[in-house]
Amino acid sequence: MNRIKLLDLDLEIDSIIVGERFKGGTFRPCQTTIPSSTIEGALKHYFGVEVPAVGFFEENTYEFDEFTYSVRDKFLNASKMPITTAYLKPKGIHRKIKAKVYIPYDKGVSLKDELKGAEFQIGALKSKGFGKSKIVEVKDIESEIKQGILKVKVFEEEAGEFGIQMPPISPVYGYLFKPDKFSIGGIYKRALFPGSLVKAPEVLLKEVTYYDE
Amino acid sequence: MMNNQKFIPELHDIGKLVGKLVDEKVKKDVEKQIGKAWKGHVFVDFDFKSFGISQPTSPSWWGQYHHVCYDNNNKKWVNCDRKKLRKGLHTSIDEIDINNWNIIPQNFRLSLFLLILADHLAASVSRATLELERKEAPQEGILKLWNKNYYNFQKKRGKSWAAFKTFDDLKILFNEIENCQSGEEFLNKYRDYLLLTPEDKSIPRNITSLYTHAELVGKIYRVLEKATRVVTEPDGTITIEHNGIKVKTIKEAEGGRRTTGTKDVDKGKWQARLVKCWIKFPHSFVRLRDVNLLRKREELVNCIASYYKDEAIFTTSNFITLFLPPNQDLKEVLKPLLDWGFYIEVEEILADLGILNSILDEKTLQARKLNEQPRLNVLNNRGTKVYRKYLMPEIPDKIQPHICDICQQRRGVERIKETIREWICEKCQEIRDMGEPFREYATVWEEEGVKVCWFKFSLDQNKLEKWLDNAFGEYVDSFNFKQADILKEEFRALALQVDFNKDYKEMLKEFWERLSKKLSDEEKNDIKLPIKEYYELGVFKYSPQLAQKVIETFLDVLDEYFPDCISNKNSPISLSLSVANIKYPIREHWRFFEEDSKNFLNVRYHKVFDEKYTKDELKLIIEKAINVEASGSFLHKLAQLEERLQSDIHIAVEIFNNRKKYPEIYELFSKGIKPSKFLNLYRLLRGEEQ
Repeated sequence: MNRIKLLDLDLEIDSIIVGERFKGGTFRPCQTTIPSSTIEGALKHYFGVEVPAVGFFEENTYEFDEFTYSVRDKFLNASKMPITTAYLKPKGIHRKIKAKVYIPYDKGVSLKDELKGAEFQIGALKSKGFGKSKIVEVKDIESEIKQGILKVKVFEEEAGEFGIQMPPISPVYGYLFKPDKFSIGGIYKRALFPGSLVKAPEVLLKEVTYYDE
Repeated sequence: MMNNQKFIPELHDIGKLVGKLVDEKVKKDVEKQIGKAWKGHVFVDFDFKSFGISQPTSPSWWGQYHHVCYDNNNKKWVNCDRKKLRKGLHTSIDEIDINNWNIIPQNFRLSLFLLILADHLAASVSRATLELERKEAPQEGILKLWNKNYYNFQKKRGKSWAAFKTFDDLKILFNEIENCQSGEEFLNKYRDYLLLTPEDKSIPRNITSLYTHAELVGKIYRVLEKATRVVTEPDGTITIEHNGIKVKTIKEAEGGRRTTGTKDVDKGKWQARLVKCWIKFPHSFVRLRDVNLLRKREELVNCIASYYKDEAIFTTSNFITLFLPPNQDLKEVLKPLLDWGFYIEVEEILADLGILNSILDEKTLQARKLNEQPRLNVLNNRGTKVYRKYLMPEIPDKIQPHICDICQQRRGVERIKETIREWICEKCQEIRDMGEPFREYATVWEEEGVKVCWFKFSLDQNKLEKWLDNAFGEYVDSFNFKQADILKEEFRALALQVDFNKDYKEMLKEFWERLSKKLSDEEKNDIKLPIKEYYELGVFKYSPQLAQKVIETFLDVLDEYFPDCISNKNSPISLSLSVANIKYPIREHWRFFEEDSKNFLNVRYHKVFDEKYTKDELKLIIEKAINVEASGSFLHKLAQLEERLQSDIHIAVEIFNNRKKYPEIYELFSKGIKPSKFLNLYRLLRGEEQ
């Protein structure tokens, strides 16, 4: 049976904004996945390593709320028009949002001890206190490769490292931003988006399917 | 002299439009005068000479032979008798080598061959394999599963299904067979009659309109025809070749009709595809003008439906069902949509013609999931395939910043408007340049700082397929047929889906007409159809009165068009309303409309509540809480209490304590409707101030 070994990180998060990238307007929506670009950026910033990673929030542990803030124009010493952003907060009885992050085993195994219990921030508006996360558990898992609908956003060039068979059976493509090594500029790289029909570790699938290939 | 007209498959069942009573009377008259009438709904054995006219000479005449059989004892062609068929005394034309169809001139055999195949594919339930025990008399009018009283209602309005009611009308009928120029002409001319006539008058097959059946037969026939030819073999016999595969009988082409069991599951040689296409887009509506994308989608769908008018079985604004031969390039068909940045979620079924239907994908996937070996053996043996695909425009593997703010699929070009800098690609800008949907939104309404309510009707095709399958099952079960399981097994939902979609489109038009009549002149300025002729989407300057009129009008038209359709979380039809300040982004309203887990009515009042209702809940709340003046003050009190305490238990206690004073509210509560549901609806429709 085809399986792959992954490093499985359980995260607990207070509140978080994983913004969608639109310009204009005074309302900023928030995503419900943790794209590769977001989690990889956080791992690089806090642990100084570049490893492929991907994740998602666990269903029913979060709900939307809104936060309004005003950006300060330091040059003009004036506040710009207030912006409202959607963010995720714990839902119901949950005191924290629960999230899963997966790292290819070979790339993450040396970090295992460092990751355990680590606290860091992820997503947008960190200065306002959003994105405080704690890795509460790190474990090795083996996930069976099955056909199904992908539930994460992962850079196409890194998908293979997670055991996602490439080329995918039928991809839904989008773009994720990949910063350059100095984090000054960057480029939009093609990524597999949720909904893609793939053969992948079951933990990355929304549902297992039985289509012809 | 040979007639040079085309063969028009849509005419094959024209005999079903002969009035039943008249039919019998005319048949008796004809019998009296010329000694013999005709059998069934075809005129194969009609005595034209004695009737005093010539037999039609058009190619379409040979469509009348689609039910002929060969009488093995008397060695002659006759109209099929199902009992004799079962006893083996008759052999159906389906099983006879086309070389032996000596009753049909050689040059019309291909047309008849394809007509019979198309007729089988377009029927909801095959009539060939089973002789139903007669439980009920044949029904004269159509029975719509979602509107069971439809025919009686139309009858009371003076409409009739029968187009040919008198002796002389028969001459008109034969004149149609002789001179009709196209299927479209026939469908348009007899539309009203065809829509009221069931394709098959016997229960439980009386559920599809003859209009849709004839339309489907015409489409399927022409798609098959494009990939089919007659081949003369070296020995002088003919074979019919489709996609390079030769056959000599209809049975050989389509195979058996069942997907389970050990009998009648033989593989057919010809396959075709039913392709369901959901049209999606990655775009975000940043400005009001960006909703022009919906107009573009409408235009492109119409363009495809017109260019591929036979392949496109039916279309809605966001869905196309295609019937295609195995090797036709799907991407080419959908290219206009892909070129504009839409992507298509495709579910494709490839199967023998004998079993190809629009719910075979679900059955196949379910069988695989549950590992149902008997069905899988048959499906695999017959080469059945179910594919899921995403067709997307070609996109590069990387894009240098900046990416288009709207579609996020192409590089954006910097554009500055009113000091706001945006990055928009050429295609999205072209859509934006199609014009302002309506000026008031961004000018008058925005200046007024009003709340707006966007609303959208949706028809979920997956839920529709499931509901039709269940509804047909229940209909069959209500008659205790011995062959109930086989009837259900052979059910093809496609024709019903087409009928349902037609009614849905009509209902939407009727909604806007009826709503317009209910509005004052002032209100008419406050409600808009942002995309002309895209009736699913509306927006109004929010007021409780308008919200109530929208919902009540929806309930009115729904009760007229779909009174017997399920109206809960499994409802194919739903209405969603999203209320927010005008500055709230349109893309967020749209995101709400696109959510998967819809109920019959879905309401989101930004930062106030998010609620879903079944039709029964909605009606009950309107009856007991909204339209009852006495409860008003109490509901206000409950609403305030809920806001202050955020506690369902306190609300419940309050309702219980006041049960004698406000029995309606207590009744709602005791029927299991959560207080938040009727409080929120009250807020929306009676204007609880926030």
